[in-house]
Amino acid sequence: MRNELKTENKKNRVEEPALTVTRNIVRIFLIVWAILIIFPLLWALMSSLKTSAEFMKSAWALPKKLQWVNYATAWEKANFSQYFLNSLFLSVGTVILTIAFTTASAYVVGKFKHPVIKSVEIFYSIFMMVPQMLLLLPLYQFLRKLSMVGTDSANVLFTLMLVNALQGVPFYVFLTTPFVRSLNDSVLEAAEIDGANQFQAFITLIVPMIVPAIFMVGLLSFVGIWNEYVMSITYIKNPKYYTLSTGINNLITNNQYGYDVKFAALMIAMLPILIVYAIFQKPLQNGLSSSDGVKG
Amino acid sequence: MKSKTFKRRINSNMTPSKWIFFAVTCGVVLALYITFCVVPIFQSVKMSFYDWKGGTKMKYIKWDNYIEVFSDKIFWKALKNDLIITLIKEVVICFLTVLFAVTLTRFRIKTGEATFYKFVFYVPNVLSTVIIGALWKFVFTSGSSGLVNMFISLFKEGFNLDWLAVHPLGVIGFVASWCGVGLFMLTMIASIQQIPGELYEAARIDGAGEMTQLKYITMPAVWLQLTFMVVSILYQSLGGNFGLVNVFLPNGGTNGNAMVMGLYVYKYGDGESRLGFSYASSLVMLVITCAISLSVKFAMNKVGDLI
Repeated sequence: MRNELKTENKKNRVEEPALTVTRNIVRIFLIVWAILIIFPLLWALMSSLKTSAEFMKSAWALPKKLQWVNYATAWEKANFSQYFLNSLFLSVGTVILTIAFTTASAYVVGKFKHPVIKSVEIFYSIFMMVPQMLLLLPLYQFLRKLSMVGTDSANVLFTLMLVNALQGVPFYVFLTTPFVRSLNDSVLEAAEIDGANQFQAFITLIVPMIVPAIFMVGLLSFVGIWNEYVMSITYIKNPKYYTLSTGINNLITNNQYGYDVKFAALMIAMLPILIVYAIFQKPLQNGLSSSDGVKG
Repeated sequence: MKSKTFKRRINSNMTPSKWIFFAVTCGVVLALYITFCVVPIFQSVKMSFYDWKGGTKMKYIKWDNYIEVFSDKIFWKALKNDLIITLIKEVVICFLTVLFAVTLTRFRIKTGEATFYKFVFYVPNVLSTVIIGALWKFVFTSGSSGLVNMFISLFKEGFNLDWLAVHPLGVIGFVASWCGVGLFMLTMIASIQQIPGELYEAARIDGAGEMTQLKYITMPAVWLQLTFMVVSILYQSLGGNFGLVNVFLPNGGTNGNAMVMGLYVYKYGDGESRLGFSYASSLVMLVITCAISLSVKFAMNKVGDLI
């Protein structure tokens, strides 16, 4: 026994140098990739604190004096305070609607057994795969007929809440259903025998038990909608209702403002979501392959 | 008798109360979903056979829109560009993902260090496409204020290249990969961690080195995950490159050298209001995307059977 252990240890030791070399080679890749991600973000932060002239002179150099005034310009003159509030309003509204739409549906799909329910599940799993580009323009025409979008429509943010939340339904039902399915049936049966109707059972039994799932849906849909870009630039035509992504889309081609303000605006749009990520790193990473898993 | 056997086959636990609950919650959501997310798509299928600019005036023109899409050189260029961008993404993301995931799980890297990489690599995934696009647009800007040009100027005096105009596909492919690596690395790590540790233990006792273990244990076990990764990058990228391209080059570059299918659909639908034509091209895009994705999935499964 002892001999065996010794030979095994020996083999390990023989292997170590090769492993160390490979590990260190890969480590170079890892570090380079990490720099590729961190550096542009730091560069944006640095550039947002320089004057435009300083930036044009040298994109590398550190700011001589921190120009917090860029943030004030972006916030007030370039209207990013308005865009920020619009984004916040839109995101919170969408999160509430998404939770309202998906939680009960997930309970139905997860615990009710009937061919009709099964076909709802299959239907959602098919439509989860529909590319956004297919729906984008037809839906716009459809909403315009109902005057839910357009330059004169004051409801565009509410419309976006509704259609954003609806578009997320298949994915979030798919995400929540396993949580509901894993709950113990006996509690539900007991409630049924006690004469509780489904609404009471849902509110008093199911919801408290799937709070983590609901929280995850809320978090993922918040990040998703805060970042949503294609629908916002297509549907929101009135600058009064611009969200942060629409605002940035317009700002980067706007010659009225210099690089200083542009970078400050980018930081304003980026910081809230980075803070959310820093706090909720684990749940966000576990909600992998969320609706906009692959960008661009 | 027959109906009875049929009834028994329906595996159901429904009660009236459950049907009411279903109708009021799931049913309402489903009705809304069909109204807003399914009906418009079917309408667009119908309108793709019309010459329609969005008003009440429309003319039935049979397959003319489709014929025009197929005979438009720019559309084929867009497809080619999409394929090039996707290929860059596939190569970069798959290579780095497998490399990083294996290293972080099997090569005994310290936990703290691994957590740091996981945290950093996932950052692009929580940022908006428009922010990433704007940031990299500034990085690749022509002239001396562009970061890349600045960097190369350190070695080569006065270097100046308009990256987005000259190499749009390379830049887009790179930035898109920059976004994707973190996400897929985490899914890959999760699937490597599901491999039972005894397998490695047994292999080690039999004298198999790390590389042999990688080839004979890790790769076959994660092949399914790799297939999923390749196909989902392909599927999402072919129609979805639109977002980044719209930030970088909203006009599709000079002579359509950065045109992608998504932008093609968008340009005719939103800018020029040739809606019937735009719908037709979006449906062609869908068919092409599905066909390519399914054949790649089929091929990957065949290869998976061999290893």
